[in-house]
Amino acid sequence: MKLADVFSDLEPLEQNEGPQPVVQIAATPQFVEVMGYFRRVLVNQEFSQRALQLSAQAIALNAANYTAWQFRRRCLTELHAASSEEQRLAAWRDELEFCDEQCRNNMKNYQVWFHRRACVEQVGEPQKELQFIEEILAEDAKNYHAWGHRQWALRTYSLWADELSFVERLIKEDLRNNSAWNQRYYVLQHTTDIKSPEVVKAEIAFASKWIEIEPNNDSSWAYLKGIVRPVGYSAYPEVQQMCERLAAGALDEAAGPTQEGDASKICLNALSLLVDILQAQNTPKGTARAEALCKQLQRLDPIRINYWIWRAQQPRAMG
Amino acid sequence: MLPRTSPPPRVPTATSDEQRATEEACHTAVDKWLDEHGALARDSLSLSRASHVAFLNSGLRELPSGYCSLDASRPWICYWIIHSLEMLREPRADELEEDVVRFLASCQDPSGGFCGGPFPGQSPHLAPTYAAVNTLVTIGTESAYRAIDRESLRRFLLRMKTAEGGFTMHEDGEADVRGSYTALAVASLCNLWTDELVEGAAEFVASCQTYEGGIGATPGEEAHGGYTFCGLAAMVLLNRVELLRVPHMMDWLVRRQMAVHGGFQGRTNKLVDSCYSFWQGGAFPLIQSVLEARGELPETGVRSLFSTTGLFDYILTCSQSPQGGLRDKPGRGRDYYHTCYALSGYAVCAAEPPSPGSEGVPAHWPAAVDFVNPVYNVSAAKAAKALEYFCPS
Repeated sequence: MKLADVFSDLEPLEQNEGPQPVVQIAATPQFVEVMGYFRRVLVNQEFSQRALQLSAQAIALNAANYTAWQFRRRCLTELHAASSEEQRLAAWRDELEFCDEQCRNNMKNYQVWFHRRACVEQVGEPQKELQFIEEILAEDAKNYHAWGHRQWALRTYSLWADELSFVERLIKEDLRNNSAWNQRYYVLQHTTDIKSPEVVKAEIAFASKWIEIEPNNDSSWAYLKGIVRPVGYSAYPEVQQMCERLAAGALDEAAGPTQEGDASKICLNALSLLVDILQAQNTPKGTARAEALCKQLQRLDPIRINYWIWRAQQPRAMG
Repeated sequence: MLPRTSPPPRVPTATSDEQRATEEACHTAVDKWLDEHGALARDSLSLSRASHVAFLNSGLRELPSGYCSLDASRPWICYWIIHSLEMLREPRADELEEDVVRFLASCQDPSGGFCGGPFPGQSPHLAPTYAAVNTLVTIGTESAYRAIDRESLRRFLLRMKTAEGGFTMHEDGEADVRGSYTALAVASLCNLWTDELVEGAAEFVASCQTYEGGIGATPGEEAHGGYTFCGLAAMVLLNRVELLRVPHMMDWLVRRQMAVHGGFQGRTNKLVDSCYSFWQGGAFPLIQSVLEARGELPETGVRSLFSTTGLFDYILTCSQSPQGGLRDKPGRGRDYYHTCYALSGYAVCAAEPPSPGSEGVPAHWPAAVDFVNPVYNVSAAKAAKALEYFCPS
């Protein structure tokens, strides 16, 4: 059925662009027609089945139309204000299905993920969310919205049980997936005392395992630092030991200049964490050695030359 | 010169494969430039100003139908274009500016705030509100200032406030650090700052700083350049930066500059993207002024903590589209968003004090743009003028 027939009782509301439009988007006749009726039902506050269908058409033309998404939530709420629980649930289940498709087509869109949250709250079957998000992450392992939605589902419905193994699987698939490392921290933060010696020790072991496999990985190093920095490096000498070992290539050459070709073999992350550890010791010896390492880093990590000069000058800055 | 490629991975993964491909695309772009100019003499490299201006001007009146995905973001398009032209010191006709003012006024909701397009038809939203106010401030005329209905805007901002101290982007919408920044930036510029508005706002932003040192969208989400800028700028406006672990954030920020091509990535182990030239680069002047106030960035030492040479090189060799306008990275198309944020990052670089990391920058690079106020990301002169207008001393 044509829109004009469905809405034969309504006059489309044209967009007022004024006499001299700016940033006017050349719209297709279909876009003009759908949006004309959509504006009208919005202004009329018509919460009906046909208006709900119309908003889906508006979303198909522009999934970032936040007003259309907001309208759908309002529309569903109003339509089922007097419905039976069964009818209401069925409507929101349909809506979640609509969302599935929209999430897959518009993975990087704020509105669709926020809308999904509202649907899950109505339907109340959060377990399915983890499976759905897993499918999305299989397409785009670092999708920011999908991870945010996953965290919401985990904390809202306490679905923590299998999350660590899920995250470890993703890290195995790509040890550079920083979103997965962030998620590991998130899970532990919510399910353990992340500053307790047992957790810290276990997480040092976990991060170290992945650092040994691939020393050149900012994600595993950031995680290691994130775990140990708040509790202090002095209580966990194994961290310094690992850094000393992995930085050995660079430390050997401390006497003479590094050949350009060798620079790529040096573990900059190990060197830079040594600077943190030595400066935190707050001893003349530690500070002096950190300063020498900063000098080396100025040469080995030239994009951060200013930073390494500053770190040498401000040995207390990192606290 | 920076190294040509990252060290070969011991364990290749999808991430390192994509990184390798991007490094190659960047080098192809640099090589192309070398072929045309013989050598990487920075002196002969510059912003293709005329072609960028032409691209910007071409979008001010009409846009092709492919832009319909931005139909709910039209004040953003105004901001990306007008702010870019302002940085490039390209004058706009008075009539055109008045048309932009009229258009933005037509996007204002009678209940307060700006919508993504003319009212009625869309709800007021903090993002287009920020974009509209920044555009009007950049135009900077009496009629532009008067277009903002401050009284209803004040009520709108308060309505967006959440119990947790955050701001939702719109009624029944998501709340995250973008909401905090856009609401507070607008409140600050338009002199709508109240205790009620800011109560709990700093604590919310601080709770979004992650174990990496950067800031995520909401508590627990991954550290990300866009949210880190928004959070830091919000804290600067709130004068509550002490709630953040500042050196820890600096440590995260400096590591987002890519060793190979000098641009910034948005998150750890993600690819370079020119828009982070501003989201990450713009955080430096903010954080440096905090360190300076604490006496941790003394006059006698290094004054700028990233490599402006590296960032200038990336913007000039890799992100300029041959057709005019700027792009995310080589192989991607130009657009107004990346044009605006690559140029904003360029303008940040231009204002940085000289340092070992700005070696080799020819004098004409920083001279090509006007300075921006990095807290609001509008022209420094226009931000000062608006503050004078809305907050007369």
